[in-house]
Amino acid sequence: MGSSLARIALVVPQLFGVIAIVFAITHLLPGDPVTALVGDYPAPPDYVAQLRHDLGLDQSVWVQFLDYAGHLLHGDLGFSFAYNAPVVSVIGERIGPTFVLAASAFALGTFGGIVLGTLAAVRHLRATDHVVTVLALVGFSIPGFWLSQLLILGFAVKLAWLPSLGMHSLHTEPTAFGELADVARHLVLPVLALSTGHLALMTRLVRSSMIETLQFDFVRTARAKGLSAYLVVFKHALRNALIPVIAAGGYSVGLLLSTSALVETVFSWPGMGRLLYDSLFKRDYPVLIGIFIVTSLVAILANLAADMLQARVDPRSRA
Amino acid sequence: MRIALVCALALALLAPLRAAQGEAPVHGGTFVFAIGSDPETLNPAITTGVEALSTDCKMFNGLTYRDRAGKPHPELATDWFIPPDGMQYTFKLRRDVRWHDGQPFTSADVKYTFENVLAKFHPRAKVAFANVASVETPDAYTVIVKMKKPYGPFLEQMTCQDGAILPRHIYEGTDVLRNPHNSDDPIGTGPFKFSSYTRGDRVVMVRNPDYFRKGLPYFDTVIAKVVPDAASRVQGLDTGEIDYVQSFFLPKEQVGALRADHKIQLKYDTDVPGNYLFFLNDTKPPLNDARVRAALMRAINRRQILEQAYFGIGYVAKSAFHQKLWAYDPQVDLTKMYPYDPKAANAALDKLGLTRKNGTRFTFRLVYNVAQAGFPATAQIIRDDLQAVGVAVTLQPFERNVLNDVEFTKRDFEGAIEAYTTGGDPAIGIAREYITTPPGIPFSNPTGYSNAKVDELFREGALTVRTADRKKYYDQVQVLLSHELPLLPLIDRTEVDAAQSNLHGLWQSGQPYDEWDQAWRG
Repeated sequence: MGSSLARIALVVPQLFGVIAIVFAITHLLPGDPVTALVGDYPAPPDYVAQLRHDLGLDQSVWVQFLDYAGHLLHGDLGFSFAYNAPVVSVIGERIGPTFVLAASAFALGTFGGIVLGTLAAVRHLRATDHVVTVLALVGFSIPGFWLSQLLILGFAVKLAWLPSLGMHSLHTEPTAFGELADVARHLVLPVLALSTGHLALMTRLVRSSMIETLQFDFVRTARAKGLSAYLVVFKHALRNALIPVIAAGGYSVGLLLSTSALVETVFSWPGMGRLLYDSLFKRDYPVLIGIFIVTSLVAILANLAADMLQARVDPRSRA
Repeated sequence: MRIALVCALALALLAPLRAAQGEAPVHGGTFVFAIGSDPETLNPAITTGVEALSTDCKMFNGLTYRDRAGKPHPELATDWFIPPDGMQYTFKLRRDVRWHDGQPFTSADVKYTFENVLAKFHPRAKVAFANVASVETPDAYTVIVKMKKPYGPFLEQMTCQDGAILPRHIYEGTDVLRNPHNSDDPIGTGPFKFSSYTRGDRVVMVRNPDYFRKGLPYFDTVIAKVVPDAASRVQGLDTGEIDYVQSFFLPKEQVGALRADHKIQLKYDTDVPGNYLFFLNDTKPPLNDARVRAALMRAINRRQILEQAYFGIGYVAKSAFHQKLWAYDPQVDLTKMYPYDPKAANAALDKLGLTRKNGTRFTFRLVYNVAQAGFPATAQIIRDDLQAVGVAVTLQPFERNVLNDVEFTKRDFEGAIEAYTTGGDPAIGIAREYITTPPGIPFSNPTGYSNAKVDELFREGALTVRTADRKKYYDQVQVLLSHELPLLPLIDRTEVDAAQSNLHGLWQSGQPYDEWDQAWRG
């Protein structure tokens, strides 16, 4: 309990560090949000100056930081230059689609990785193992951007089975249940593209961990007791084999959130990853910092959850 | 019997053709068009952003619209009167227009928008309104604009693109830039009303049943769909998820493939002309010598740039003015004055005393926007061509925002590639490339070139009302610029849009941000 509280208490300084670093980096970036706002035409200097003043960009970085930190303590993430709206609402609208995409990809990758990794370990050095190993290698190496294009060309353009962009069909009005099915259809290709790397990583980790676990004495004992192969693998070995995988799972959450920007771009998925990309080009500092805070918080919490889960599964790490 | 059969067969074969020719417009359906990112704002009177205007001009109107030849026609104004001295514009307004919230549209809305929004916040219109002395409204349907001095393209700027009219009752007394209607529930007069906006995804607009052109629009719903990836926009056309991609968002390398696709129709020259330009830093030796700039012009193979970087879509530039613009002077032809001739370029540079040391005459940093389609290829061709005449070129690709700082504020470059629009008028889009400009103003003249005669000719061209009189000034300036070459015009762009073949009634006006009140699906 004490250990868990200590871990949770560490989140606060970690988050503060992230905010300070991100604020510094975003404000050190060359480029000007006002230029990005006024469009591709020479705006009159007094108009630009007025806009800069209205957005508080004529203040020193220190004043801007103190102002920002003060608002943050009240739960206010600031105001978006580009969207002319509070950052909380801008991010709030985009976090749902990213959560749906990343959670689906995480679930598919984790479950698929456990199944494939276990299968390969059980069939160690046989044809199944070789096929899974090669597929995992390819899946790990293939760039997500390129895979996304391949999936669109194959399943949307050539076969016309699945939509290529967005989260909803635009030419038809779906019914209430139809809307859920519609989102699910739109989810298939981006989830495949986003989960492939995570699936490959999980497969490799589970395979190697399971191969090692299957050599342990307690597994030999279980077999000697006459337990079925199913019980030996899934009841005894898998629980132990998953210990290193849990930590990697926590790490993968942050990785999935960061790589979702590319996948969201290709599939026009209206999520937070794409918002990050847009905000970077528009130098929309408040949104940029807000996204970093949210993703850092999710990544920190995922790692915390992984730590706590690992402690629960593996008594040795409770010390 | 046999004759009857042949006739019947012929009639059967011709029937679909006749049907297609005489097809009546169909009401209903949804029209989806792609934009690259979220609209900057849902208020068209404070922006020049392409995403914003593409979307907002379905919901808002200007006093006029321009036809495909650039001529203004009635929109919210039914008529206008301009005396020969160009010192006053009297607009008569439509009496049957209502805002989307049911309030009547009157001259008070026009006066408010002119004085409090366009004159203050619209980057392009602000230049035009600097010449306005007062806006008067003698009655609810008359607007009189009195000028301090005449301004040639004033009427052309009364379109939604530069002169969208806002509802006074929504904006008066508020902070115009922060008004909540800029990002949600905009109130316009256009053929489509705002329905919903999901940031990062789509803006949905529905048919305005009270639209002032009775019986229009045909579509029930128009959706601006955010599709950030250029390749995905074309794939969306292919799968039928996207109906229309405007030239600005269409990757030109895909035009060849789209041309062969019977499901897709392409339309050329859909926007006011624009150019690809090669700015030189005229303040730095030896580029401050017009003879050196002329030699560089001869050294660059503009035809190769057109074919390889822009897939043959456009023309090799002939003048500082786009050759399809009304103000172009056919007497000026840069392709004849400075044909691609590396030997002549080499000889000219030798003659100017720019001798080679270790094969290099001078060094040259070429900056460009890395994300702009065609620019990396253009930069590579220019580098190879200039290196062939002894100019050592270093390529410096930048992200747009960083490039603005390097190019327009610090002017820390020797050469810069840019895409500029003419805005349909030299006073709107071309003068800014050549007139004397202090550093720090993006999308203006970054060359440092300053010529009082050039400034005067552009000023006179802008302050003259009759087109024929304006053209005299612009002919003179084109001749002058063809000798001075403060920048090297490379390519005159051709804009090309792509749409599903079964769509009709698109491209009614010459505005790139057409309102599509007459568009329908066959």
